[in-house]
Amino acid sequence: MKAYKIYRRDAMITGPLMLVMALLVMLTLRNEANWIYQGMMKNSALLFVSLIFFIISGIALYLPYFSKQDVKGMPRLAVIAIIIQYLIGSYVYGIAHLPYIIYPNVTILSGFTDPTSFRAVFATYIVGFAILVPGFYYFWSIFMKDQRRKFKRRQMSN
Amino acid sequence: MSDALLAITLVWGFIFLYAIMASMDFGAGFWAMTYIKKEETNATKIANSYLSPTWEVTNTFVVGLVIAIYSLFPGAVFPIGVALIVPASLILVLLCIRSAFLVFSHSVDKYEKALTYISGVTGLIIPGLLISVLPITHLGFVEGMRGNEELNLSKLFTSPNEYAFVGFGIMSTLFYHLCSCPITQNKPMK
Repeated sequence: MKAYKIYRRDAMITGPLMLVMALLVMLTLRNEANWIYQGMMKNSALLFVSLIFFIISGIALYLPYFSKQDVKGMPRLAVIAIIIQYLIGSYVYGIAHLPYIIYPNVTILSGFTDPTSFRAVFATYIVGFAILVPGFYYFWSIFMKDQRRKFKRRQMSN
Repeated sequence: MSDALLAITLVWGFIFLYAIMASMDFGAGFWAMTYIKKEETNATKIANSYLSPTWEVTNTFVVGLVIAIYSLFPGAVFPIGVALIVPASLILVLLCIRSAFLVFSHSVDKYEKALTYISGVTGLIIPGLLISVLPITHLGFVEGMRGNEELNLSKLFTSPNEYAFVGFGIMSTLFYHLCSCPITQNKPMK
């Protein structure tokens, strides 16, 4: 449990720092790239939802600190909330960034490939990912997952 | 949804997945370096167990990203290539050093300590460089006519927005790793 406490303590420091940095990003965006700031503010409701998910993960990290209860369930909630927060945040940024790939010269339409070539490439990607994703999962279950539980179960059945 | 929109969504999805998985890898490097003095806990051990060559699998997403842009947006390849030549080359060189140490230091013991420091430092620099791709694309510092664009580096490095993004990238890498590390360990920590 000691290591978990160190991890949580440092997460409680870096979390607020990350929020401050995100606010700095928005402030400097307003001065330097107003077009994307305006685009992001069109979805300001979504940005607010993203902030709420960040606060949920903050609560999940901070709450056990006060209650001194069993802390097992909370980090999972924190990480799911953070991933949703990232997803919403990057969606808002990505939508605001369109139609430019590189502002102001390159748009998605000016650089886009031929429609038939697009269909071929896209189909190839779908097939490729149908192979790659189970491969990744298998790789993960071999090397990354904690194998101790499985061993324990095997010992019990023997 | 138009074809171009579908294509850029695919590219952005690649970037998102890579960001999530790469922050596990890069955050592990930095925290293993920070916790190395705390011998009485197994915090370094846990962070080190994430410092495994297996995480370098995530870097296949970098390859996938380049291929996706090249095949879906051939007209945008030249300006993107010119704009990213400095940061992307630095990222590749640092990734090479980091991956080489991750893979080989397990077989040569005397590099064990060097591995901790190299993966710690590169774990800070690489996310900072990776996220500065975003300010390059939206600040409008890629100047010049079509066909001979150029990135204005002095404008980029004097822009507060660039540094805000770098700080944000580093902080979110560190925070995300700390959040996600305990749960993927299946809670066996004592």
